Amino acid sequence: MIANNLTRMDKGNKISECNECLHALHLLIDGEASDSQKEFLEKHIEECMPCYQSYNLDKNVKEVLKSKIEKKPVPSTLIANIKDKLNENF
Amino acid sequence: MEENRENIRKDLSKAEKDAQFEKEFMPLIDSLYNFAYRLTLDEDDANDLVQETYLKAYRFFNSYEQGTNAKAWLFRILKNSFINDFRKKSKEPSKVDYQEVESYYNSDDVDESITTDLRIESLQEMIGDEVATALNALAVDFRTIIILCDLEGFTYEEMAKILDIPIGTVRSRLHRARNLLKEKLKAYAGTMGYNK
Repeated sequence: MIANNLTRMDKGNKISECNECLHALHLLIDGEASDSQKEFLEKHIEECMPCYQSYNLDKNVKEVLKSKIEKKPVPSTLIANIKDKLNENF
Repeated sequence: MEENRENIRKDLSKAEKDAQFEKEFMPLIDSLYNFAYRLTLDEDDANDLVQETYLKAYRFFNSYEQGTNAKAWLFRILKNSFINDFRKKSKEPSKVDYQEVESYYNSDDVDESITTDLRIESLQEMIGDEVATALNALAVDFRTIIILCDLEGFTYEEMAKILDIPIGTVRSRLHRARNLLKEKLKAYAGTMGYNK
């Protein structure tokens, strides 16, 4: 897929390179990109402002979710209730 | 090796089994409770769902391979319990949810740049409750994949197993979920005056 893209890129088809980038950016953000994908994406966002902005926004959304959504404390009775139920049922 | 482990497992006394169960599964209760709460959006329901998950996990403990991914295994049980039991008796099978999900399954392509005008500054000014409200407004399938990926840090492969869907579907659902979330965040930023 990346190889195809490089061919397209060689032909100067910027739009399809951006499309490919936007479809695969999540791989980079989630740490799921292969080495060749990573290379392609990092190079592309370095050179392409709109794609970089898109990457930066998505990365920020991910970070904001992780850092701002508060963890609910586990109710103090829950563990005891589970143990009671296990003892009753098994 | 596998067989040995199987044999050992069968020979476990109840006390040994309980000790293993406690050691491997109870430390995960915090993540499970939060996942349950984000799915049901109700503390009592979350409580029930987590209890049910642990009862099922105990019942099927023999089919759990020790030392493998306990967290993914429990999340999968919880997710299935939620779909089979909780969603059915839910009072409000939201119509909006179905529309949103349907338009997602019917669309050929992802809409890329509709929400790029959400500003990072607005995002960073938001408080946790506001971000949570935007997340909670998503249809449950989309909410789930974002929780698993961004809050719990599961890999695509783990999510595929937890959700019983191919990795390609994990990717496209995640992509769509994030675009929808950005729309919600942007709408929220708009009403709060953050985006001005």
